[in-house]
Amino acid sequence: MAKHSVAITEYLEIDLDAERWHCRRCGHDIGSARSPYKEGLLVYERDPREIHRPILDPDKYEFTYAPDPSWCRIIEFYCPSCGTMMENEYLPPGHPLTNDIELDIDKLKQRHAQGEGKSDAAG
Amino acid sequence: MGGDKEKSVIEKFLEDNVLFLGPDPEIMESHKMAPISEREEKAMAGFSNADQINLVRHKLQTACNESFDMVEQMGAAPGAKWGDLISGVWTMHGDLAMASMGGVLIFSVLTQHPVKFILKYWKDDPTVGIRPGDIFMHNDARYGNIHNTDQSLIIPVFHEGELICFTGAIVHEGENGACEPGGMPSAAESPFDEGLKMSPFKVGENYEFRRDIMTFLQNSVREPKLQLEGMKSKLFAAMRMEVRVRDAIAEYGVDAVVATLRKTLVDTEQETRRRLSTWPDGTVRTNLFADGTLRENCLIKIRCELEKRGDELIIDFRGSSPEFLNRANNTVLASLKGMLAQEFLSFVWPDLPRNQAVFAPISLRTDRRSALHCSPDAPNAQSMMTFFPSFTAVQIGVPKFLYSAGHRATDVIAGWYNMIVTFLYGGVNQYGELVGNVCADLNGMGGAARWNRDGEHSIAPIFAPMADIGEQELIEEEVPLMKIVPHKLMRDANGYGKFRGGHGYQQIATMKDSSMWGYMCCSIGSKFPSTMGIFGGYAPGCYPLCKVKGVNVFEEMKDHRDLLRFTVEEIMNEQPFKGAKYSTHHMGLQLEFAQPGELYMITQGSGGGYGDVLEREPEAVSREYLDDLISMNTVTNIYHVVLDAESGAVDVAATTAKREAERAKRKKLGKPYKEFVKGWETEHPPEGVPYYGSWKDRSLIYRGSKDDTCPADNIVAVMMRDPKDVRIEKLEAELAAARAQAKG
Amino acid sequence: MRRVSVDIGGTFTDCFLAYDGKYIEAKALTTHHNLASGFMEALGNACGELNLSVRDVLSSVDAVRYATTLGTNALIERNGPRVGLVTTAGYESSVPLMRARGYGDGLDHAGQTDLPGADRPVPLVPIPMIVGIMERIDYKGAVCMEVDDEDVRKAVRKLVDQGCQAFVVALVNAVVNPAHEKEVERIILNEYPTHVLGALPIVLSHRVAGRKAEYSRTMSAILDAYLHDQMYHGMSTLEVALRANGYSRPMLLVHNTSGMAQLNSTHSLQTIHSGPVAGLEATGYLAGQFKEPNVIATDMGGTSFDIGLVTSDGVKFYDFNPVIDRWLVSTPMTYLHTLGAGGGSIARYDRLWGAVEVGPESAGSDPGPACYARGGKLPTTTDANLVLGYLDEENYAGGTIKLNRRRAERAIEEYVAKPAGLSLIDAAKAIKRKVDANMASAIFKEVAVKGYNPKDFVILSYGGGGPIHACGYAAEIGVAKVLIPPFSSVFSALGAGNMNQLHIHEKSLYLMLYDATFRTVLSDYTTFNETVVELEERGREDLIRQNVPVEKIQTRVELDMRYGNQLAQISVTSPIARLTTPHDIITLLDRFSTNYAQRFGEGSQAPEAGVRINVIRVVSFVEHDKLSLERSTASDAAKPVARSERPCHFPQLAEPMMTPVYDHTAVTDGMTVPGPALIETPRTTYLVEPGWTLTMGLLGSAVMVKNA
Repeated sequence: MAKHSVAITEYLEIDLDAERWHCRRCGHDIGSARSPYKEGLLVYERDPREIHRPILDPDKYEFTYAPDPSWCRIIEFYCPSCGTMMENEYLPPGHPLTNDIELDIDKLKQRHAQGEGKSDAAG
Repeated sequence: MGGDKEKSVIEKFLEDNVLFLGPDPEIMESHKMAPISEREEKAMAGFSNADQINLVRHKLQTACNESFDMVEQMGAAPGAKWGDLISGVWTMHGDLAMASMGGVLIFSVLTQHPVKFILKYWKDDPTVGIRPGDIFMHNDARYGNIHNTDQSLIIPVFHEGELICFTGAIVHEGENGACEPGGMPSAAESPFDEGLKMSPFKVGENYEFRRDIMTFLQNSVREPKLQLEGMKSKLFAAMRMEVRVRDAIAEYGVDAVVATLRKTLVDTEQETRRRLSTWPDGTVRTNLFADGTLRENCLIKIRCELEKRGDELIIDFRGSSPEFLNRANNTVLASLKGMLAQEFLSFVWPDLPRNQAVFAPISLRTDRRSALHCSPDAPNAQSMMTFFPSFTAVQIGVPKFLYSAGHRATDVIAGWYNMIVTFLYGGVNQYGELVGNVCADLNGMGGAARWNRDGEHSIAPIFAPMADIGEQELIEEEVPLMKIVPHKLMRDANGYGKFRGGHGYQQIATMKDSSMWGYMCCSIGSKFPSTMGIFGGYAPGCYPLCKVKGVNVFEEMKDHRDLLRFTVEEIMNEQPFKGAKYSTHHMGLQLEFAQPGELYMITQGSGGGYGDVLEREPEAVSREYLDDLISMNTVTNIYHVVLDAESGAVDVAATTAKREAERAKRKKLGKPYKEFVKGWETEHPPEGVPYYGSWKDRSLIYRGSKDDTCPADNIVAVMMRDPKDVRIEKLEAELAAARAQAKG
Repeated sequence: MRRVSVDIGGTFTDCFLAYDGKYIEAKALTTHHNLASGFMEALGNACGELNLSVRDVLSSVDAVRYATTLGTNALIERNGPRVGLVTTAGYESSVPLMRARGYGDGLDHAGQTDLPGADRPVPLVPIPMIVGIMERIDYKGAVCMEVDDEDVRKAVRKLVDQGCQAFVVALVNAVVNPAHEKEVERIILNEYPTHVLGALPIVLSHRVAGRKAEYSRTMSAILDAYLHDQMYHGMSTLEVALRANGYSRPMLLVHNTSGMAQLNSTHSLQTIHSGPVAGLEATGYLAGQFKEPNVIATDMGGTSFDIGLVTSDGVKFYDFNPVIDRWLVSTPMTYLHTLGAGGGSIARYDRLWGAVEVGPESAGSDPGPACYARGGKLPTTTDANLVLGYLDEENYAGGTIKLNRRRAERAIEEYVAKPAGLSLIDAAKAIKRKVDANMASAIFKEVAVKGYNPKDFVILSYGGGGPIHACGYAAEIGVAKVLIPPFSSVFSALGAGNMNQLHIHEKSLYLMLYDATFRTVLSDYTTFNETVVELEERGREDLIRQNVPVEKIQTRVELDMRYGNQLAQISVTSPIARLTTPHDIITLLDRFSTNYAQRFGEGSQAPEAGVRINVIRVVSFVEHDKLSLERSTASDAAKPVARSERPCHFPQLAEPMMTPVYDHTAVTDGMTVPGPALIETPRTTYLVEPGWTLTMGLLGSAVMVKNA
């Protein structure tokens, strides 16, 4: 972790000095902390049945324990450098991706400059 | 001046000529506490020592717990026995100040509304009034509470003629005379199909129920015994608590009680704000999709934006699905707040006291007539089908604040499983009694994966800690619901991740010794997972309802024991029973009568996973494999671990290599964001998928197809077609086609 | 009477010796590695006071009785045998899932409500050690599917292959029809005759617990199998030690059901928590001797506070589903409520309420309170008591622990006074007041939930910490009288010396006394009568096995009844052992109604919803001689002489009061001491608060009464 970094998720941190998103596994510079981090990642669309195998025979039954691929797709986001899956989304086909984290970077810097916000559990 | 006078004359006319008192939006749309009154100011000024207040609070808290125990012991509803209730004390202005430590916490935010209704409308009404010994009841969710299977009872507490507070309890009673037994009819197509609709009303005086009213209520439900026992238990618990409040007044003075109740709310809100202010400021967004109404599958969007500024949190659900006017899955706004409060009371700050002030720093934004803020015309008996997913939308968003927050009271988690997978039942039991209710095992929801460890298997419902899935021997002693498999952990159906969600269990039910017996189910998530993982962890899969009709398993037990199987997977894939009919369905089942020995099978869901599957400890994968909780397919193709099929021994080197290869593959397959979006994103929801809610723009709401939209600020409620009509139409078309083909 | 009774606790082994009218108390440190050595040492100390040898005493006493709070060590250390579970196919996950809520059983409220942090305990029987066999019996005992010999053999072989050292067989509805469990036992014995694998114990669930509910019954059987070895081993060493020293009679083990039995008639599960239960039993006896109809027994130690009830109406309070360690079981135990509150409870400033809070976290005895100077930095109840002047730095626990006042002050200063903005003394007062209030609330709820008015009770206070706080928590509840029993520091051991040989057998059934749907009253008495006969027979066999003469055996029938489908089962002692007339039914209905009304309020009864008997319980016992503990009637106007005096602070008073300190030997039978006063004994301190008066009784007993 860089000197003035804040771990935001299991895999993402923000370098407060540089105002950049970094990968917490390999340190890869993902992009500006003021932009969506997903824009700096690799994205892959997966048929949900690859992960959630049909436990019941799909030839016999409509419902099989697997998601319906025409209703649901898994979108996976990878670190371009180490290949870690940092996030995923389950979306109907074609649904706009979610800009899931948009932090107030100025406030964040301010808070950490004051020495607050230190984690006491996760991270 | 004259204009004003005229206006007041008109106002008076309007006031005197109300057709009837419907739910009051002023009461129903605000979850904030009543302003501190002069009376409360005075009391707090007079009784202000924190340690003294703490002693009074402790006394009242003990009283709440005591009365909770009483309701649990005296109640006859399955819900009461597993703690689906709370008991509490409301301030003189109707805010819930203290509640039992046990029980369902959803109630903590939304029980104020009926009390406030009583205060606003009945207190000064010459035909009603509030007097010592009065008993009020209520169950209509449009006036507060969750759904009308919950019945609440409160009594006022007076001291020297002054109303000091209210005491009472709310219990999930079950049966309420709705169009289906058990109290949560998914077949309801209007509020009038939902059984008893008690707006807050007086049911007794001088601490006694009026027998005429009791008779009416007992005649309105399928379980008159339950109605009676439920009302009695709540009354005596409320009375016991009234005695305790009086004791406290006698010992510390009336101001002490008034001050303590109010100060408890003030302090709680302050603490909540203090905690919120340690979260980073910003916005977190989630999109979640409920996949049905319980009558049919369709995609119901839950759009959720969490905006945190300073010590406040705004939860914005605008752009979510419109309401369904003839489906029971709509949520009354107040119920939604109750459910969201649950996230904070159970999953973020479980150490905070149970009262409504915890939710005070949180505000909601919703579209009117959306499924999350429905009109009084829409049925809401199955509001869980939209407010549970809404809860999950918040739950999977919160970690994105909490992970870097300065204060955490417990572990950061992924999405808990969020559906009530169990059987509701109705019919005649083995003793000839008419019964209808819900099984306790809905409480076995799979726990979410955590930031540093796996989730626990079927452990607790999202709405209550320490809930019980019950014991089968006790169940089948009372109702003819035999379980061939009561709960058996289900393989390969959980949320995978670095830390995995807790597994759920499958159950296989059948019936014995009844002349009439029917089942219902009320869960979604058979096509689209209902809860999610976080930080790269996967969701659990989907869960169907499976049936085997045309079999009597008890005959098979006698004559063909070799055909018996004890997992859904084997029964459905091997189809061992000759001549039986095997089928799968979504988990919305309206009352369906069954023959003895026919099988109905459902699966309790798993919590979501946490983190990348490739980071899961290979040893943990091996243990799960040896426990038969995951198949070799999952070991190999999900976790990319190489292990010995017999001993479970991990090949470390091969695993490392396999995982490296998978990472390389990801990098090869993954596309840069912009390029991906170009190929992925569409203008409208996909053809052929009935989609409800916004797509790109939250102000434009889709109503089931890409051509049918309405603006979010003027939603047109959706009317669904009867699934039977849809099916008949489909069959008729097939028939016509077949005939045409036959003609050549 | 010549009798030795012993209570082996976590720290001390207490011994109470009754010898020809003399009563001797003695203590020794508990020796965990070999319980016998601590036992013999304590006994030796007692014999020493009589100038008799241990051999003389042991060869002449009529009984050695033994209670213990131990027994859960095997659970905590997880060093029990590898248990294999044979259950009904389809039910394999019942034990791992622990009824969902099991994660919180045995935890405090904070642990139970924290769902994200919830963890189930490491299982006693891991998933691969659980096998399902194809069989099914329904709720009324009808066989739906027979047991298949080969299927069972296969399952059992799988367990043995995995190193199974003890079998538990728990099949659905075995309590209504045990045929299948017995059949499985037969097959296992046939497959593995005892000479093949040695004594591989087989525990059948229906023999351990008689009530329906498959999970808790299975868990009872698992614990029984798990604890069996260690308990048996521990008891055997003890018995060997006794034999070697001249004792030739069977040893009697105190049960947590308030009875006792010989080793060969004891399930290991019944010994858990038997020490505190013996204390409650002694309370019951004392209540009779002292003519106090309603007594709340309170036992305050370093980390826990036990509350039990004795009432004049003779109602027996059971915990039908007690939690042992983290496990829910279904063997009835005498009810005691244990609160995590004691001298080691940690005080803190609670930011939320801006107030002082105490517990439930405890510093225990290691590191202990800050004033112990063993590394504990956090302020505790004991530290506050020291600061307020109640404890003597030099004379605490008979001088065995030197207290450090400076450390106590510093801890309270830093963690309570400063954040709360209070002076040191005010902070200590707030701690004392909160501790008393916490205990008072817990007592209040225990009494109130059972339908009694706490003000109708006296409080009996024993255990090391109780007599300092007794006036405080009594006043909080509104109780004006506190008793300190004779031999208060070995009170549980004394209780063990006073018990009856007793066995409880119970059976689930579904018996409608009044069927509300069809408006019929029970007219066929066969099921009731046959069940009672069967249970009486089992109790008789137990006692005969221990050489009790048949004519001495007495029985008591208890019924768990309920209205409609309520959860509340109230255990009613039945005045009737056989039903013969409709009159009997009405008698039972009345008995139940009275009981229920007392608990939940008159008018709360709901017979119109139907009345059912769920469980019949037969208590079979033989009465043993009792110790004589008379209440003193002496009155002595003489004033005791104080050893010293020191200023003490009391929460209700602004200014400190100069408080005389007495040695317990200075205050003799019949003397009165007005509060404030401190009376020090080697093991505890009696605090007589201002406004209270203490009167000394016999054998170290005392009564403290609030001045009118």
